[in-house]
Amino acid sequence: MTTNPHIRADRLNVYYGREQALKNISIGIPANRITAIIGPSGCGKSTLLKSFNRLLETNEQVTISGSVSVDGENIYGQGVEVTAVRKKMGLLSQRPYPLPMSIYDNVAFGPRLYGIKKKQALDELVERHLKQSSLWQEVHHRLNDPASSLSIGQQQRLCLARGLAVEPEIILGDEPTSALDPASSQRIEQRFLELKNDYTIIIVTHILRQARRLADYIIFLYMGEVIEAGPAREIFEHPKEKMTREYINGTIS
Amino acid sequence: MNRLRTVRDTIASRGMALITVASGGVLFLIILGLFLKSRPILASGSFFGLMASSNWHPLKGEFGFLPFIAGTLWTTGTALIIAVPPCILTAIYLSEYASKRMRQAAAPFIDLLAGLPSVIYGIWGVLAVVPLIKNHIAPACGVSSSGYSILAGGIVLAIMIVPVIIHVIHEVLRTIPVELREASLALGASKWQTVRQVVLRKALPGVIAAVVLGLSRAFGETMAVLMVAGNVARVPGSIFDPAYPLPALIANNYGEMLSVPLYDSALMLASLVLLIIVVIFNIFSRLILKTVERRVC
Ligand SMILES: Nc1ncnc2c1ncn2[C@@H]1O[C@H](COP(=O)(O)OP(=O)(O)OP(=O)(O)O)[C@@H](O)[C@H]1O
Ligand SMILES: [Mg+2]
Repeated sequence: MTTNPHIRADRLNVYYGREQALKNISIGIPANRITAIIGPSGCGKSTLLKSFNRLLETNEQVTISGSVSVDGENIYGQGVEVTAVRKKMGLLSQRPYPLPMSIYDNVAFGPRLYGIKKKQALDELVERHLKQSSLWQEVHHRLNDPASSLSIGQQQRLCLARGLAVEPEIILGDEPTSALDPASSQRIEQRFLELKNDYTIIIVTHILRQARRLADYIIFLYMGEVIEAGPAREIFEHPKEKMTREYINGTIS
Repeated sequence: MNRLRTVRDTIASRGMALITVASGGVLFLIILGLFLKSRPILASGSFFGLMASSNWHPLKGEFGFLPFIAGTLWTTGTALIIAVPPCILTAIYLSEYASKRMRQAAAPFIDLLAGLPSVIYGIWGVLAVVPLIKNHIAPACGVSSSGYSILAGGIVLAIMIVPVIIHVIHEVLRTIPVELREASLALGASKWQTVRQVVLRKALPGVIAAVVLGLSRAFGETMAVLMVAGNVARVPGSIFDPAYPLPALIANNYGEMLSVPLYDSALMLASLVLLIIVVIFNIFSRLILKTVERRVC
């Protein structure tokens, strides 16, 4: 792994009420790589992902200890503005959740929050990010339609464009292709491979083949603990831990 | 076995269809009955003439409905203006900001308020709201008022419909997925920006439906308004004037004034008009709802 990780979690513990979902997590996420978080259902993958952009604290039951640093700064530190932390990251969830407004306004939502008001600048942004998410072709003639009128696959690409439009450094994807048909999944994967030159990408997936196709770096979680983390090739070909091997071979799931 | 199941299925679906048609039929019969009973008064003048006239002198045979229609619209409108903004804010507070314990404590309280008999609200109106308007609010606005007024009716009505509207809006907000809020927050929106620009937008059709529900109750509410609105058959000029809404007219006079010629028929027409107002409102709000849904969701 690189000496200077883009995101670093240090002794991170997360509880939902009394139940501990993440146990003493210390890992680094390399910059400009695709990192895949893998592991069986309920092991804490989504929780770990949400700890990176402070989405956990919207749930009043959650308590967090330890630290997560982005670009060397602890995002849970005092005086850190949560909106600034979130702006650094674009989030793609399991299913697309288009905002209840037009296609155009979905993409322009973030930029408008940051004070871009001029129509020309917004037009340019919307077009650029829709192109970057390979959706422009399909929607440029109906940008004012409600976003919900798009197909699920298109909606997911819209959510990608929406996330990219805030010019983040990091893209977080929580099983971003799990609701999509194979063709749409492939388009999203293709986008990720192209985007990793400019962004640090972290995806949660429990499709091992997807992790193999995309990931440079793997974090294997089991029951809230990191069992093994390292370059994808090593994890897939020479896993150090017995549990990792069993998971990869499909004996535990 | 299978045959029996099909037969049962048929009976069930036919039965339900019958009940549905029957309840629609009841509405039709009510309208028909009211219409037939109002024919004598409709024969004495044109429908629109009666509606637009403000002369209500039953003993002289003059039946102008404008004061009552205006009274209904004024009190209901006032109630709505008073009730809706706090309802939306309260529902937002409960669903987005309040702690779980707070929410659990508030819910039964709101439901209780929704179930109180309207006479209780009426009494409270007479004891508290009417004097408040007479002694404080009206003088502060530079007018004199007996207190029995549109404002009193509006306040009492507002208090009555608030729990219903809060309840429905709160339910609507709860159906909005957490992930939608997270999507907005993840883009760097603050909580308030998320609530205003995303959650409320998504909930707009439901909010409209909640308001319509409250409105329907307000239109028909009789007792509480009757006790505080003053019941003077004149077209009101301000919210400090007394009003005489349609339901109050009907309830006050039915069975008492029936020796006056045509009075009976006039009250039937009043009921019909009330029903028409409610129906028009429902159609209207449905149209709004459709447009909003198409534009937003
Ligand atoms: N909102 C919540 N309230 C209470 N417990 C939760 C909540 N979200 C997650 N948990 C618990 O935390 C643990 C980790 O959940 P998490 O959603 O992170 O798992 P996951 O690895 O993403 O699973 P999946 O693959 O099924 O999405 C689980 O045991 C789950 O029950
Ligand atoms: Mg998950």
